[in-house]
Amino acid sequence: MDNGFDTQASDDQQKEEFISLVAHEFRAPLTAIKGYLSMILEGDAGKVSDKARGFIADALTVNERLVRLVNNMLNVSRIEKGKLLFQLEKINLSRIARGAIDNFRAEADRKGLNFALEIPARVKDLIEVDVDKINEVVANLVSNAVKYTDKGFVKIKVLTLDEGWIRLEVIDSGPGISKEEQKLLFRKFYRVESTAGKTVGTGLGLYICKLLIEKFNGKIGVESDVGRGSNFWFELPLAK
Amino acid sequence: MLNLMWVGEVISGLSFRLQNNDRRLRVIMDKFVTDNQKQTQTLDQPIQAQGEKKNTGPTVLFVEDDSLLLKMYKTKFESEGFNVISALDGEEGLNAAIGQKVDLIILDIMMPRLSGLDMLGKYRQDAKGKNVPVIILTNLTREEEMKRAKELGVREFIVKADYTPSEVVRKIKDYLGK
Repeated sequence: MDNGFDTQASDDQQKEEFISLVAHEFRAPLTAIKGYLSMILEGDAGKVSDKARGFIADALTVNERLVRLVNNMLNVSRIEKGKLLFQLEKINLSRIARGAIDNFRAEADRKGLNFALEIPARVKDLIEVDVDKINEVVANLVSNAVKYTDKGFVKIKVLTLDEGWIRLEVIDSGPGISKEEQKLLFRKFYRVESTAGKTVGTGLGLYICKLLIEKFNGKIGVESDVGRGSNFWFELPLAK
Repeated sequence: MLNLMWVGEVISGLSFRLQNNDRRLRVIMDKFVTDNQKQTQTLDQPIQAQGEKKNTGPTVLFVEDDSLLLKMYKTKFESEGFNVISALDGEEGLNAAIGQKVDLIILDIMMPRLSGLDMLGKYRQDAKGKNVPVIILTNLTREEEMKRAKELGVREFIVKADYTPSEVVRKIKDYLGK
């Protein structure tokens, strides 16, 4: 049964297996770095000076970037093939937004950005999702906003919509994105070019965000213009 | 009690620095902890024979082959009041799980000799292992393993790289509180 189709399939399987194993190997040291550094910050190794605290927070920030990169690498082919298993649970979207503020605080502070969260009082925002996956989406959006914004602000907003939907926006005062590029942004491997000299990353982040949000029956998009900042948003149905 | 816990932490901190081949010193350390417990405990309390048992919280069995990660989780869980037993592969894990009473097992998947899931399969066949909650803590997130874990009654699957040790502690506390 050695026909071309089978050979192709086994090549694909081998590649996937290889990526999975490499990513696994990457994750072990990343776990140790993240774990030990966070334990130092939490005082498990004794008193830490403010300066050391700042250094460690920076090291944790770049470590998180690697964690996200590995997650994206692992996720992309699995989601495409419908092979990613989700652990659904109910959670308030505001809680996810607050977590993102905590996680990116150090990086935003270092760049001198005004980094804020806007949530209306008594908001109805219970959604049923895989929490880790939605955390990844928000982290991808906030990470981009902080990375590309050199001065001004990054704001996370949670808004209720009519008819059982909730919306999260990541708004920044960065360079903005042209209308032409906005059409291509959520495509696989697309990397923004209009922000001169800042083209970094794998071009997987927003593509994965789109796949994930759509898996949870939501919508994702961007409103932006060159020189006017960007607003990346997604909308999800409220839990029944 | 506070004093006892403090002594325990210092000792566990020290013993982490010991190499595995320095067993003689480890025995002395363990004896020191046990002696301390004897002195501190009142007569109507049973005396723990094992040096490892020093906290009063739930007993958690960690099965993890990466000794660096094991040390990290053990330190955090013990400082949060858990009583931690550890095993470095599935075979050791299975023996530990059947040999003593544990409240929860935290299990890695990729391990030498016996994988986490093979260990769990065998454990579930043992009378003692029918109902003990098991949480998977791994960096391997393949669909096959996740499915098999669910079939073996695992309800929580934690990706190590996504959480700090204290976040894992919080997840475990939430889980036990449910």
